[in-house]
Amino acid sequence: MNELTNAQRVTRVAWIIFAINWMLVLLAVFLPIQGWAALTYGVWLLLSMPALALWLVWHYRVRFQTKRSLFLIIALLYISGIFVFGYRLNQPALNFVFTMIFWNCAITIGLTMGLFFWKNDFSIQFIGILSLLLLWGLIFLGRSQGAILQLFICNNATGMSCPYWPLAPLWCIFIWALPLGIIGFIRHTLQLLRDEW
Amino acid sequence: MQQTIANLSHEMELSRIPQLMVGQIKPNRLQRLIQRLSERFGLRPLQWTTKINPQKEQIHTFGTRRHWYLAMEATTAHQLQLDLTTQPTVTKAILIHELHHFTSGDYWQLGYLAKLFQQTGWLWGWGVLFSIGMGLLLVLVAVEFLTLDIVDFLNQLSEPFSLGEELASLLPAQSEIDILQEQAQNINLGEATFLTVTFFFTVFMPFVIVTSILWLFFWPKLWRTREFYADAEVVHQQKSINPYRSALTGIPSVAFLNSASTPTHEPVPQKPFRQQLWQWLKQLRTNHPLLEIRLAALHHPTQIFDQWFKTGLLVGSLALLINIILQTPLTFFFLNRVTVHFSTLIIFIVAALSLIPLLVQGHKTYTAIVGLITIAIGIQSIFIIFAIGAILAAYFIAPEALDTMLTNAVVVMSGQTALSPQDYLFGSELSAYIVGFVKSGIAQTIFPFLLLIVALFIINWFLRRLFYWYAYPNADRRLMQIAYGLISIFAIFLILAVLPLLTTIWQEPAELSSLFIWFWVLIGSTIFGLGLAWFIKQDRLYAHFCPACQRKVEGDYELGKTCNHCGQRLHPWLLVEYEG
Repeated sequence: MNELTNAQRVTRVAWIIFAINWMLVLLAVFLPIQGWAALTYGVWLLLSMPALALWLVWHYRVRFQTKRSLFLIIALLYISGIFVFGYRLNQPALNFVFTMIFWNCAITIGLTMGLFFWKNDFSIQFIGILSLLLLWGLIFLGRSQGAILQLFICNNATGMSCPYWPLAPLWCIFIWALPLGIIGFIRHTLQLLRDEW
Repeated sequence: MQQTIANLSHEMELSRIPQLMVGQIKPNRLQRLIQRLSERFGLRPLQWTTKINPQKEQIHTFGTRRHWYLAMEATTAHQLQLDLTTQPTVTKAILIHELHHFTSGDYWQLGYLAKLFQQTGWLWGWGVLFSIGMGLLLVLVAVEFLTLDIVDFLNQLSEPFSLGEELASLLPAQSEIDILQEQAQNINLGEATFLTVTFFFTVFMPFVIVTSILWLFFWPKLWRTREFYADAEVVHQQKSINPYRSALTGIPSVAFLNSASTPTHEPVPQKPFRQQLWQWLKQLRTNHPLLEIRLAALHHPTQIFDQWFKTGLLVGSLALLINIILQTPLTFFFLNRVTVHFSTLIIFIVAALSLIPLLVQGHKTYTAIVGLITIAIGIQSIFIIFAIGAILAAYFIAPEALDTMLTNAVVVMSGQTALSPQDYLFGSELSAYIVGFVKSGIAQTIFPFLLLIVALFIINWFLRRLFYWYAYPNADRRLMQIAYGLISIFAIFLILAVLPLLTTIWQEPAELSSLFIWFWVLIGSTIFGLGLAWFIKQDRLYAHFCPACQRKVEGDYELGKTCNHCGQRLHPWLLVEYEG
C-alpha cells in the first residue's frame, strides 16, 4: 500500500472535520449550548469552515478549474444568498445551514474563480457577461421595483433597513472577478507570448 | 487540401481536434518526405500529427506565426504512405500544396484575420448590449436623480447624517432643485429610450454587420484565392499538372498520360446565367474553389485572377462597407467629409493590383480600368445616388413635404448629437441646402470616379513601363516589389495631397489658406517626387535593354518575348513550362 503524502493526510483530516462541522451545523438547534460555549461554537464554525473549504478546493483544484465547478459555486452562493438576505425561513436550522453555505461560498468563490481564470483564458468573456447581467439586472429591477437609486444607495450605506437587493451576490462575484480576471488575462497573454516566442 | 484557421494558441487548436493521437501511427517514409520537402522550401521542422476521428478535412495546416502544424487523418496518412510506392508524385503534389500554405504564411495571416473579424463582431455585439443598457439605466436613473430629495433621504437614515456646511454648500439651492424637478417631470421616457436605443444601435451595429460580412464572405474569398496560388506552386515545382490533377480528382495520374479521356485544355464552358448565379452563391461561403474551376485554372493560370467585372463588384462592396463603418455617429463627426477618401484609396490600391496580371500578359487595360471603376464607384455610391435622386425628385414634386421631412430628421439628429435644432431648420434656405447636398454628392461620386480613372491610367503606365526593364538585376524578385512600392507611393500621394486638396477646393475653398493642408500636401508631394525621380533614373538605365547582349530591344513588351538581336528570352521568370 502506498504511503500517504502530507497533503493527502491533511485532506483526510479536513474531510473528517468538515463532516463533523456539518453535523454540528445540522444539530445546531438541538444542542443546548449557551454563553461561552455558544460563542466558541460560533467562532469555531465561522473560522474553521472557510479554512477547510479553502483547503479542499485547493487540494481538488484540478476539478475546480472547470466552468461547471465555478457555476456550481456561483449558483450555491446565489441561492443561499436569497435565503440569507431575502426570504428568511421559519426554520432556524435551515436558516443556519444557508448562512453557512453562503459564508463558505463567499470565501471560496474567490479561490475557485482564481483557479478557473488561471487555467482557462475566459476572464474577459466572464467579466463581459457578468457586467451585462448586472447592468440589465439593474434595469429590470429598476423597472419592476422603481426607485433604483434609493435602493442602490440604501444597500451600500450602513444603518438603513432596505428591501432585498437580489443583485448583491452578482455584485459580490463581480468584485472578485474584476481583479482576478485582469490578473488571469495578463497571465494568459504572457503565456501566449512566451509560447509564441 | 484544406486548411483551418490558425489560432493565437496552438494548444487551443490542438485541444479542439477530438481524440487527437500524436505519434500513434508512424508512417515513417511519409514523415521523411515531409521533412525533406520542408527543408527544400526552407521551412523550419514541422510538428505533424495524425488524428483518428474522421472529420470534414482530411489534411490541413494550422498554427501560429512560429508554430506550424500539419494534421491529417490516420487513413489519409496511410493512403499517402501507400501512394508513395505506387504514385509518389501524387503524394508529393499534395504535400507541396500544403507546405505552400506555410511558405506563403496563409495559415497564420488568414487565421489571425478570422480571429480579428470574430472578436470584433463579439466585442461590438457586447458593446451594443452594454451601451444600450447603460443608456437606459441612465435614462431610468436620471428622472429619479433629479427628483430625489437628498435632505429628506439623509433623514431616513437610522443614524442621521449631517452634511456639514461645506458639503451642503455644494448642493444646488432649493430654487434650482425646484426648477430641475419641474424639468424632470417633463422628460419623455419613451422618447429618451427610443433615442438611446437608436443612437447606440447606429453606432455599433454597422461594425457588427460589416465584420460579420467580411468574415462570412470576404474571408472565404481570400482563402479561395490562396488555394489557387498553392495549386500553382505545385505545378511550378513538379513541372506537370498530372500528379496534382490526379490528387484532386482521385483518378490515377497514369490515366491522364495515356487515356483518350484526358480533359481538354479548353477553359470551363460557359453555363446558363441562372446556373452561374447559383454556383456563385454556393461558392460564397466555401474556402475552396470548385473542382472544375481548379482544374481549369491549372491549364489556364490566368483564370486565377478575376475578370475586371468581378473585381469591380468585390472592391465596390468593400468600399461600401468601409463607407458604412466610417459614417456611423461614432466616426462621422471625426472624419466628416474625408470619409470617402478611404474608400477611394482602397479602390485605387485593389484596382492597381488587379492590373498587374493583365500587364504581365501584355494585355490592354483601358477597358478594365474604366469598367472596374464604374462598377466599384457605382456600388460604393449606391446610397448617395439613391439619396440625391430621391431628394431632387421630392424637391421638384413636393418641396413642402421635403422641408417637413428634413426638419424632422434634423430634430431627431439633434436629439442624438446635442446640437440645437434651431440652427438647422430650413424654410427659405431649402434650395441652398439642396444645392449643398447635391454638391456634396457629386464630390463623393463623380470626383472619385474621375480621379480614380486618371490615377489608374497613370499608375498603369508606370506598371507597364516596369515590364520593359528587361535588364534589371534580380528582376524575378525585385520587379514585383517595385510594383508594390509604386502603388504605395501613389496611394500616399493620393491620400495626403490630391484628395484633401480637391475636397477643400470643392467644398471649403476658404480653408486653402490653412497651413495644415499644405503641410501634408508638401509631405505627399515630396514622397511622390522622390519616387518619381528614382523611377526615371532606373528606367533610363534598364528599360528596353537586353540583359544578355546589352543592346536595345525594339517593340512592345509581350509575355515570352525574345531579344531581336541575340534571341535571349526576356523576363524568363514569368514563364513556367509544364506538362498538361
